[in-house]
Amino acid sequence: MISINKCLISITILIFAVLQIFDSKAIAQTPEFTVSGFIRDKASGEALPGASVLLFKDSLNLSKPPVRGATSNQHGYYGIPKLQKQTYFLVARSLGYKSYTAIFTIKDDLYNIRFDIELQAEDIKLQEIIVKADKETGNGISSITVSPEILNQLPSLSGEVDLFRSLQLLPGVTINNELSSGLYIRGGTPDQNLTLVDGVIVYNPSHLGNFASTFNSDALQNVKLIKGAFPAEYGGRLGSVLDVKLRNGSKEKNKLIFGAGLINSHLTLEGPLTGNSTYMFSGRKMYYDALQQIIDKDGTTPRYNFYDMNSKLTFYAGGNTIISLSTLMSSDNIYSPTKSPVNYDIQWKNATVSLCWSQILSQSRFSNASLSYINYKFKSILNDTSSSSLSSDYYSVSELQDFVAKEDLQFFISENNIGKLGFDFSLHKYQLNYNDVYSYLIEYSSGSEREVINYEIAAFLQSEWQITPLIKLNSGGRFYYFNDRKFFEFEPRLNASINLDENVSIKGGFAVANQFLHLIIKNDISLPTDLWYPSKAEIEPAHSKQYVFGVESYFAEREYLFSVEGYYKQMKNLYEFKDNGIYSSTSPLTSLFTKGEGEAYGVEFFLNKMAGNVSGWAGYTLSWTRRKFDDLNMGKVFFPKFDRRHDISVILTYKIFDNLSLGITWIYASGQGFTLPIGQYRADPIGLNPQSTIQYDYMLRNQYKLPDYHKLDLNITYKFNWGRALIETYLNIYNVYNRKNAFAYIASEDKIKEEGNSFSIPKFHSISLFPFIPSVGFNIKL
Amino acid sequence: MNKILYYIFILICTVFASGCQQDEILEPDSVFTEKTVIFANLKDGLLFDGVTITKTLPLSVNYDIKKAEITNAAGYIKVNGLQLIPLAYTKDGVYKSLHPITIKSGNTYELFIEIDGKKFYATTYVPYKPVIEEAHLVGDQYLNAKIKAKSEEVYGVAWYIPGATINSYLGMAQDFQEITDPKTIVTGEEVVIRTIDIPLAYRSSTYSNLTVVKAYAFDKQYYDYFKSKSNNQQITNSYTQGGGQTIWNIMGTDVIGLFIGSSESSSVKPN
Repeated sequence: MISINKCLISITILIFAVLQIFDSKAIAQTPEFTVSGFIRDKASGEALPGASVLLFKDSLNLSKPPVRGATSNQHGYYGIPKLQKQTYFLVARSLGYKSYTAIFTIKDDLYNIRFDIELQAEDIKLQEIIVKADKETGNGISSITVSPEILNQLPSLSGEVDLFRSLQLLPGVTINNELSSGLYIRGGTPDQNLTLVDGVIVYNPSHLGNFASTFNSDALQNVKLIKGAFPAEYGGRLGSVLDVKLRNGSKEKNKLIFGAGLINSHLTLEGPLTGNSTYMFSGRKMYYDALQQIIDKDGTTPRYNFYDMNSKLTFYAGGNTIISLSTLMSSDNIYSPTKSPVNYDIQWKNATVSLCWSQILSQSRFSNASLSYINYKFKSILNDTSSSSLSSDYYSVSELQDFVAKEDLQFFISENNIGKLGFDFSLHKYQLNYNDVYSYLIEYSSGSEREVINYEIAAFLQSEWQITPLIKLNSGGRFYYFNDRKFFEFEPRLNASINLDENVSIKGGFAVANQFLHLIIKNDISLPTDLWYPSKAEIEPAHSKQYVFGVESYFAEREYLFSVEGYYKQMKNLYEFKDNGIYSSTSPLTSLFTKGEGEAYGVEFFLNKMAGNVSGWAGYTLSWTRRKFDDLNMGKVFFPKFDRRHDISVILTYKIFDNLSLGITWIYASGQGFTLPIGQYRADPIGLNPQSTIQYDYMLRNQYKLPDYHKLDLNITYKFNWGRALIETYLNIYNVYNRKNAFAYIASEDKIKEEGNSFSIPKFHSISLFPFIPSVGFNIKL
Repeated sequence: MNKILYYIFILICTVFASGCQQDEILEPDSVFTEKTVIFANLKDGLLFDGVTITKTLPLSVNYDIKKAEITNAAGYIKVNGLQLIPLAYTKDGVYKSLHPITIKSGNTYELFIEIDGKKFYATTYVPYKPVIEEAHLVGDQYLNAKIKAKSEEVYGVAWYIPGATINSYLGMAQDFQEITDPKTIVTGEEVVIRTIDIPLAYRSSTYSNLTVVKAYAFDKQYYDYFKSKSNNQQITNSYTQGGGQTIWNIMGTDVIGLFIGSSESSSVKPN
């Protein structure tokens, strides 16, 4: 019965989307008059996604509602079809730009009007919208657009602003611990988050602890985070979407941004190559390990460094075609200090190359095609040098290579209906090498490597329909085929919003998603040990269903936005390592995995002060995340480490003077779960070789809660001009009150003497990574 | 002004220095929960060697059987629902029958224990000796053994390299690679079970000609214990958690332990 219902719902949504797209009216009457074009930055020529275009009749009276409107897409393209023969007053707006106005008249002989718009940047005068919510951008529920402008005012560890740190400050996005990377969104693990950079998947888009993402904020054009119930154009992941667009580079002149800090330096170069092409290069190097070597030479905290590079060449072929070649490279290395009791060396590397071809096919159809190559490698070496027979060695290398071809088509069917159609083909090649002992010889042994090659095909159909001025519906579906299991499934997607009045709206969404790539977590190791594993005959694709409902309201003359959103997510076919899998080089690695399910639900509260001298936001999330695996925690339900009952973030930015600004962030999260022994006993293990040993009796999985996580960060930025250069100097204080946020307890043994006998007892020390760290630095913009 | 800056500088340096080594200590006793520990292995054909009844101790003390033993337990074993065998305390937490009894396959044994008003119970079935119908070496890495299964039993197999004297071994498997899943076993059907890998040192023809395989049968409750038995290990390095709880078969409040019947086959040389 359930499957029949599911089938009926899926078919209904698809039929609805198809009917919307191909409604007879739209097919019978092609748009007679269409105005369309690109919206760009006047100085740099950069496309401006999310800019709004409004058409007024008769006069430019902004107090009256416009007759028509549109928002530019990710490529800065907009289109307004089905216009009447008459004169229109046009207003174009985008954050940080002066409003643009124009008048044009539609005449008989001009059916398709190409109207490119160039907006002039203006200095933001404290009236900025910091985080654009759904209504501002026309996005659906759970969708947030983050402006790169706000990033410049937030404090950071390295002195350099970063996208991931600002995303972590949003409700629903959880901090796992300082030694983890990736975004934990609404009870999902980082692998369940689809990260697209210029449309290309990046498997691990963050550096350790999320204090930096793998793309330099100087290179960002636009960022959209969809926390759940995402539309049909996105797929391949269970939970959420982070869609990042990088800048093309300035058409105006060569520019340079250089910054140097105590632990981090970065460089961005951009400019025109020829009259119709531009370049952009951005690179960054972090050398925290060098600083650790000086200030904490004998310490046991992990050593860490990274670098990343982004580049983009863009060629503007005529007025209708844009071709771009993008690359991304990043490398992270976390390793043990000399005096560490355990040797470890963990590295991850991303490399992507993408060729993208965007084209206006006709005034009402926009096409975007791309070819990409993606390479991601994660290597973990944990070499337990203790003499214990219960060695905790761990060695894994997983390397993923993808070749992806994509074609998306956006078309304007009617004045209120935008259709999207797309097709993806991905060829995956995975190489895995795993062992539970480590010797350097293993790294060069090909015998233990496993190689898997498979492919997936996806096609989607989506409609964004403004049914009435108050009701908007985004419906569609995605078809998936995965060759290894001959898996074919339809994923229905639906979200709707109803504006109750000018300031209050309610929204809801529903999405089904499948994921063929699993990030297998090793729960008993506190260090990052990612092992990506594809679905195969014996490994089923993960599956999720999400339901979202929310209300948002503007008040105090739209200076404030308050929203409440509830969500419920069900997940099936999740995989983790068993606690006690016995590794054998002759057994499949999958024999070490256990299959389970999960659910996550919660409520998010978000208050955003969008204008005024002091701006910022406060978010609170009350959430529950649960997992259940046959071979974990005796088959009982448990809360994973990243489950956080309460999560609060407060962000304030204050522009004291035009050239002096202050940014403050405070984060609080309930303590991370941890499994601790609660007693000791002696027993003869039953089975082979029963030898009487002391053993520990443990509490249930993650039952012990580490102390709550909280910290305050502060940033002061002072700007001044020096000749032609704009100099920004900053003071960053990370973890102002030096909170020791533990990410784990490590055991050591204390020698005790009692009644003449010497014995050892375990002692648990909390370890944390980032103490109070002040840093100063500067950026030069030429 | 200079003085204020000086104090700010000193304050920053002090906080910075104090933050360099992040360390807080958790007293393990703060999470201690006392539990009763009951263990007995009933091996087919051997004399019953008693039930061990102790309690868990806090992590902060040196383990001492004198502190852990429970001496005031009262209890008995019931065989096939009929015969009662009272248990009496001997020493080091071990309770034995007053007269020697031999454990027999096919019998069901129930354990009844009462300590200070708290009652504990367990039941087990003692399996028949498994018969290896066929065994062979796979490559030179491990052995497979074929056994006719019974639905109330689970099985594991182990390799041995016999020594010069009876019951001595040059080498032997340290653990089972797998224990058969009771959900997949049908009485009368054959199951093939593999040993753990043979170490490289024992893969030469000198040893492979000597290698034998032995099968072990357990009450099916052993399967859950086997899957979770490594959870209760000590933490051996800084970045590893010791695991979680082990699945036991003693019923009662705040109790851990295993009361399980087992039997083993004779050694078989692989084909």
